[in-house]
This record gives sequence, C-alpha cells and structure tokens, in this order.
Amino acid sequence: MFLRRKPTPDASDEELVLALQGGHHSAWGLLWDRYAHLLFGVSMKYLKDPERSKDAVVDLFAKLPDMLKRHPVERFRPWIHTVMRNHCLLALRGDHRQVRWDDAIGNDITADHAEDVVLHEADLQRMETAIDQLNETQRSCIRLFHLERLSYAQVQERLGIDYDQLRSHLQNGRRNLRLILQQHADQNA
Amino acid sequence: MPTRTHSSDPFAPRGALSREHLLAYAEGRLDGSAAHEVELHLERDPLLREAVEGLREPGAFAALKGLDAARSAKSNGIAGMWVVAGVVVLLIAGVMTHFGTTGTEGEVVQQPKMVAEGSDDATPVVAPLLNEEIVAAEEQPKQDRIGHERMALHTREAARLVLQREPGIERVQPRGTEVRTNDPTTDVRPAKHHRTSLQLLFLHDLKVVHPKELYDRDPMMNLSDIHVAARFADASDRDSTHTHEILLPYTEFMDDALGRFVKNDHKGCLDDLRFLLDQHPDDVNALFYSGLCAYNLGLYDRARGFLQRAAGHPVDVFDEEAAWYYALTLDRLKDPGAYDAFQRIANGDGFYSELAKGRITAH
Repeated sequence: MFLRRKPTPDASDEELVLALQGGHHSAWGLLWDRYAHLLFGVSMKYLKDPERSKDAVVDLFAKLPDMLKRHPVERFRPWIHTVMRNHCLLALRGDHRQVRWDDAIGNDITADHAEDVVLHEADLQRMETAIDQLNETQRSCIRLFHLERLSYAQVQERLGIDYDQLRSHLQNGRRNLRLILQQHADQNA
Repeated sequence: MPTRTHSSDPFAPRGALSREHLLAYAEGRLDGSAAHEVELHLERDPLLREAVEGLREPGAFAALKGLDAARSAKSNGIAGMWVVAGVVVLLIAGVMTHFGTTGTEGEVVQQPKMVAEGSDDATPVVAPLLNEEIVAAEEQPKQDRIGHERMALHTREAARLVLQREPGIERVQPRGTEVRTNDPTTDVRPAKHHRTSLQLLFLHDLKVVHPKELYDRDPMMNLSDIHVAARFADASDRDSTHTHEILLPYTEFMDDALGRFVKNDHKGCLDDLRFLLDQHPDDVNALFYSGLCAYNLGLYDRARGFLQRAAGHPVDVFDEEAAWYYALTLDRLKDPGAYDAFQRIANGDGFYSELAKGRITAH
C-alpha cells in the first residue's frame, strides 16, 4: 500500500519545492507546516486583519503549486516572504480588485545573515578590537545582546532605549563591524 | 589565530527555531536567555521578524488557531490540478488492480487530501492536521461529546437493530475510493433503509468497514513513517523508539485507535487517525472517527471537514451517522446550513430523523 516515498520533514525548502513541482502533495503540507504561521504573521503585520490574513495565507498556498511551476525559485524562504509582503502592500494600496499573486512576485528579500559572513568568520580578538571602534551606543548594544546574551527587553531596560532604537543600533553596529573587519583584512592582505 | 567555533559564535543562534518557541516568544511567554535565543534568529531573518510583529497584532493568535482548520481557497486552480492528479491515480490504480500488480515506491502519486465542491470558486483544501492543533485542543465537557451514545448508529447495539430490520442482505463487489466532484454539503445522501452490504467489523463495539472492502489487500500501517505522532516529543524521540521498520495491520491499528476513543482519549485517537489519514487520505473509517474526535476536542472546523467527507464518501457505511454529526457540528458552529442539514435528515426518515425533527423544532 505504500506506493511512493514522501518528502521527509528534514528535506530542505528547495527539495520540497522540487517535490511539489513533481506532484508530491505531501511536500505542500510540509511547506505549510513551516511557513503558514509565519506568512500569517507577515500578513497580519501589514493588513492588521485576522480574516484577511488567513485568507491571504490560504489563497497563497492554494496557488503555490501553480506559481512554482511558472516561476523559478532558487531560495524559497526569501521568495515566499517577498511574495506575501508584496501581496499585502498591493492590497493596501486600496485597489479593490483581487490582487494577483503573480504581481506580487519580485526581488527576494535578502536574509540579513547572508551579509554577516564576515562576522561569523572573525576571531574573538579581532572582533573585540573592532567592537571597541564602534560608537558608544552601538558598542553597548552589540556587547549586551551578542556577547552577554541579554534579551531585547533586558538591553532596552539597561540602556533606556526603545525596541526600534535597539534594533537600529544592532543592525548598524553589525554593519559597521563588518566594514571594520573588512578594512583590517584588506590592510593585512 | 583560531577561528571561533559555530557554538561560540555570538552572532549565530544555537539551533533551529521551532514553531512552538516562536509562538511562545510572540506571546511574550519567554524571557531572559530563552528570549535571547529566539531573538538571535530574528536578527538574522527578516521573515521571522515580520512574522513576530504581525503575530503580536490583536486577534492574531485566535485567528492562527483557525488557520490550520478547514479553509477555503479562492481559486480552483489547485483543485483542478489535484483533481486531475486524483483521476490519474485512480486510473493507474485501476490498471494495477486489473493486472494484479502491486506497485513500488515512487510509481504512483498519492491521492491528494482534498474535497472538491461544486462551486467553481470555492474549493476547500484540507490542511494537514497539525500535532500542535491536537495538543492545544481541549476535551469538551462530557455532556457535549458525541459518538459515545449507546444507541448511536455506528455502535454494535444499533447495528443489531438495523440488521434485524433489514434481512436479505446481498454481497456486492468491493469498491475503491474516488474523488467526488459534487458538493457533499448539499449532497448528504438521504438515509437509506437498505444499505449495500459491506463487511463490517466491530472494534470496541464501534463499527468499522473491513479493510478488505476499502483496499485490495489489508494495509499495513508503517509506524516507522516520517510522521511524528503526538505521543513522541520529536522525531528523535520517535526514532529512538523505532530503529527498524515497524508494520502494524490496519485492523490492529484501528483497534488501538478506537480503544482510545472509548476511553475518551480523543487526542490519542485523533493522533492515531491522523497518522492513518496521512497514509490513506480517503479512509472512511478514519474520516468518520476523526470527525467525532475533533468535535469532542472542540475542533469544530476540523470536525466539519472530516464528517462532511465521511457523509459524502462513496463507501456509504457511515453516511447517516456522519450526516447527523455533521449537522450537529454546523449547529455548534452556528452555521446557517445547520437547519437545512437537519431538515434533510428529518425528511430521510432514517435512524436520526426523529432527533433531527426535534432539533428543527428547537430552532
């Protein structure tokens, strides 16, 4: 009775995409398990409407097999994120017509960690030196969050800043760290 | 100089982020180091960040629970694709049956988990029932549960009465399953006085269609399949239990599942049946009892989907009782279709017609 090998839960997103393109419907379920709640959250962020957000997720997944057949997808995660976000933004423009999913396909949102390779490869001593060159707020945020492993809430409380400021300092701090480390690497080359 | 190891990298999360952790974080149930672990993921992944922001919007969590239940797709694009796939499956299955072949892994596409409705633009896609849904569900009070009545049509007691009333049952050829293209919500068949005869089993005094009526051969439930049942903490827990392929005959598997049902362990039963449906999406026994379990766990949208499919199933052994419980589910959901559902049952003059008339009067 077991006529086919299903995609396994540990398959990568891209393997599941291939499986779905090949007619393995169970891959659809696995992608749903991984992404439905996330995409619902994205939709909620923009639409602020639980029912519309649910509809958007269900609709997107219903169209997914067809979309994946027509659009090459190299990296599923940023792709599906982009599609959902663009869809919400189009819906928010006030156009009452049904937003076409194909119109929502755009350039992938680049995952931040792709840019952080330099940070991950740096050794501690060089990292410490680079952190010392950051401005005081960025330095404090990077130290407290990444080195002392405090939560956002703890860092905010310690430094008396709000969430958006903290995220901004962390993001800018990591970008500056990367630049500093790259400069050091170039000088030593 | 040595490069830092991954585990000591202050910019990298230590492991994968589970859905449970993310949701717990979004709900504000994590703090300190647990929150920090999630936040390391958020720092790296814009999708997670936006998802958390959205999940913190008012009403998000209540809606999220409903998201995994039955839902409607706005287009019939996927439906068309999967219905075609289902037809192909049936054709292939028919050819295989005709030539007596057994097939091997990878040869046949599994029949999709989908019920097609009559409307061109409203096709419900049956979402995979998630472990989390079952775990999060709550047993309903005893007086609100269904399926445990002594004189319910799916019990041995009621079957005896029906058999006494209906002598002269004749054998019919076993039938396979097929993808229906009509709308079971409006096509719940009227109660029949003379059912076609299919071999039945009674497990824990509950009616079950014999697997030989549903399958060419008694299926073996592959317990070493990819699915992680709710009784296991995770895949590694399951793997530590099953190091070799474990096959269990269908009847034994159903016996175990229904044993849980009669003990009011609806979560355990639904979890077992979910496993069965994962391998045999159109199994009418699993659909019917999954519907009862889902109802008793307050998962009414799920119950509606399961019972709708059981009521409209080509193997019509549960059609009357599934239609009745389906109507009760609609009533529970305050769906305006409940009245019509009761009306059809009342007009059918079957086992539940008097009860349905009582419900109509109450409406």
